[in-house]
Amino acid sequence: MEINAAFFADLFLHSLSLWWVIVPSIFLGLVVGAIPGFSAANTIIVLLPFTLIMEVEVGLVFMVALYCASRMGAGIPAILVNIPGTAGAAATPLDGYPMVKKGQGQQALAMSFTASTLGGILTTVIALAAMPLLARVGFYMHSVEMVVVMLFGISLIATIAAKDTLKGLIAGFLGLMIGSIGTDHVYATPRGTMGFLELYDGIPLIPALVGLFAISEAFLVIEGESILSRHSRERLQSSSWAQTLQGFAITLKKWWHVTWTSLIGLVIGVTPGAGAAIAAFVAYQQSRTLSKTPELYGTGHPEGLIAPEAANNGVTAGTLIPLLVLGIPGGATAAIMLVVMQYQGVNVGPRLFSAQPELGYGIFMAMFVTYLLMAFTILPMSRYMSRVTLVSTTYMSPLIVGFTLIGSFVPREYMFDMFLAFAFGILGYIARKTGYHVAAILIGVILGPLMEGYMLVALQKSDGDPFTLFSSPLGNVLWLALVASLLLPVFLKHRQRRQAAAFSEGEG
Amino acid sequence: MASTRDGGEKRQLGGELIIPVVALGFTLYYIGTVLDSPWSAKVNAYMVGSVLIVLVLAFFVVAARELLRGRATLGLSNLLEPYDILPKRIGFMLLTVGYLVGIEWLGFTLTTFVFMAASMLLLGGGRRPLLCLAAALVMAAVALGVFVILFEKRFPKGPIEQLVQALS
Repeated sequence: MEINAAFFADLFLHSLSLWWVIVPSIFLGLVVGAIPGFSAANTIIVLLPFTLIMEVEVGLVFMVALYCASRMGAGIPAILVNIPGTAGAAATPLDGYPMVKKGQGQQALAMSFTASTLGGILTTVIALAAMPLLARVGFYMHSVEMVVVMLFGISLIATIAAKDTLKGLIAGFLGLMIGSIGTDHVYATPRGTMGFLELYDGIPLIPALVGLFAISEAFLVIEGESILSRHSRERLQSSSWAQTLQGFAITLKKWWHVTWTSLIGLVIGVTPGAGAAIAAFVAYQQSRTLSKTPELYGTGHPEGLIAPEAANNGVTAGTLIPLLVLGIPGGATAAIMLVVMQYQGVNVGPRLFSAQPELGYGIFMAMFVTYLLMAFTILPMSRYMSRVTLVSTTYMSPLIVGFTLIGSFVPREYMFDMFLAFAFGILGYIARKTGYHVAAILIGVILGPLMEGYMLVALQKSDGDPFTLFSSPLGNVLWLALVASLLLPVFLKHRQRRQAAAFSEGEG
Repeated sequence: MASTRDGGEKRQLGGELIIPVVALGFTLYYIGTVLDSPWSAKVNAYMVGSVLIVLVLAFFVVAARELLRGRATLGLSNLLEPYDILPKRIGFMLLTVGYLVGIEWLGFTLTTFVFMAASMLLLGGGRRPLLCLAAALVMAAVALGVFVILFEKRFPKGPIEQLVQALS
């Protein structure tokens, strides 16, 4: 199939014809994005039973639309009540909430939505245009390089996303070990199955997914009777509709600011582990550094709100690039999408773009159409969406646990999988409470069997020589990058400490 | 969520050690299961497993150093806090286990209803019982309608499923 303008025009019209999936997903994404701690990843997990029984194309469009909208929805409580819906919106209240305190709440919401939509559209178009080139990168990646790339992904998540690198690495490698449970690839020898026949095919990913994310989250959120404090509830109930159009106009005037901060999001989104939270803070920091009025940041400055919102929506397109081109999920939501695609028999990687281009490119086109439709649907709905934060955890937690346990039964129809989901829920709960990164464990579980497969191919080609892992020039460059990614933060931290010590000596 | 040191409080290492201990135990068990296996089954165990063992040992060294310097204790409070919610949390976890065990006996729909209602009443401290029962009823009915009737998923059958089957 030829990839040309006609192909993209067809794809656009086809994606547009799926509006009946996209529009409800937008509303749903806005609602769940607004619930603190309940991210797009969790929503997709809770709705997994539906996603798995949908046609693959419809299921993917549903997930993409939900993902984009929840990014935007997370900004609603961040702005209105100073509680970010997800980590990606953590930089949003820095200037968004002061605007609310100044009586510019609706203006802030309008600015946030406009920046998010523009940032999302721009980065999706760039990703779509660059994809034919990026897809070729996959053809240079052989078994040796893939092993290193997978280890690189784990190490990046450990160093960037996890607060403690050592704990992040332990979580990632524990995930890799858990992912290796099951029979081996060549002689089908069972390993680490604890005698359970249900584990001979490996760890089923859906119970692992729902347990690590949703069930552990449900056990955590019961710490508060409600997500919001009484004060925040009162503030939320008294927000008004004023200044919406003004906010829209201000953001359009600052189109260049939206452009470059969303590009920061795109670039950071491509890096595994470096998700929306990092992108938002980097964009905010750069925006303040380059601003002529840096002293206004933190006081309700429009640019301080536009930068993180454009950047965290730029991440959505970026995250899907390593997933689709290399089959390596860059974050939790991408990991869930990979699980669904694997369940539906879709092979991600460079061949996706030659074997099923309408699916590979279609995902980005669906994202583009989602942002386009969001521009028309979101502004009138914004105020009422934020009310969902008032739902009590008394009802929310049992619903999450019940629905996700049911979801873990659906794919294989084994009761064992429900118990497994609960076990992963306990593991995820302990990990969250003690500072281990659950996304690192999950990505390890997903990559475990894949990495073992590549490692076996590499070793078989070299008659079992382990040094084959250091035999490729590209692989060696990646090894160096991996080592640098692990050592650089340690070096920087050490230097920072020495500078701080020297400074305090000078003061004394 | 991670909780380590706040202000002058000592780091609570008891909870932080659970994952490394589980990781070490599982890795040793995993290696034990492949000792007599062909090389293809051993590759991952030795390569990934050895790295994980080194990482866990490094964490033990860090933990021991913190303990010896008096900057940490083997407490579990970061895992268990806030204590006022602990009975509810344990109760909720036990109800979840009860749901998984009971579903084989009472069937999918009835157990889902009982689990939902009991969990909501527990977490809400018995307040608004009618709302809890109504929410549980709606959830169980939706689950029955979507998963058992519409998509014909083979959940364990109980009195409700048998009644539906008899009526259809």
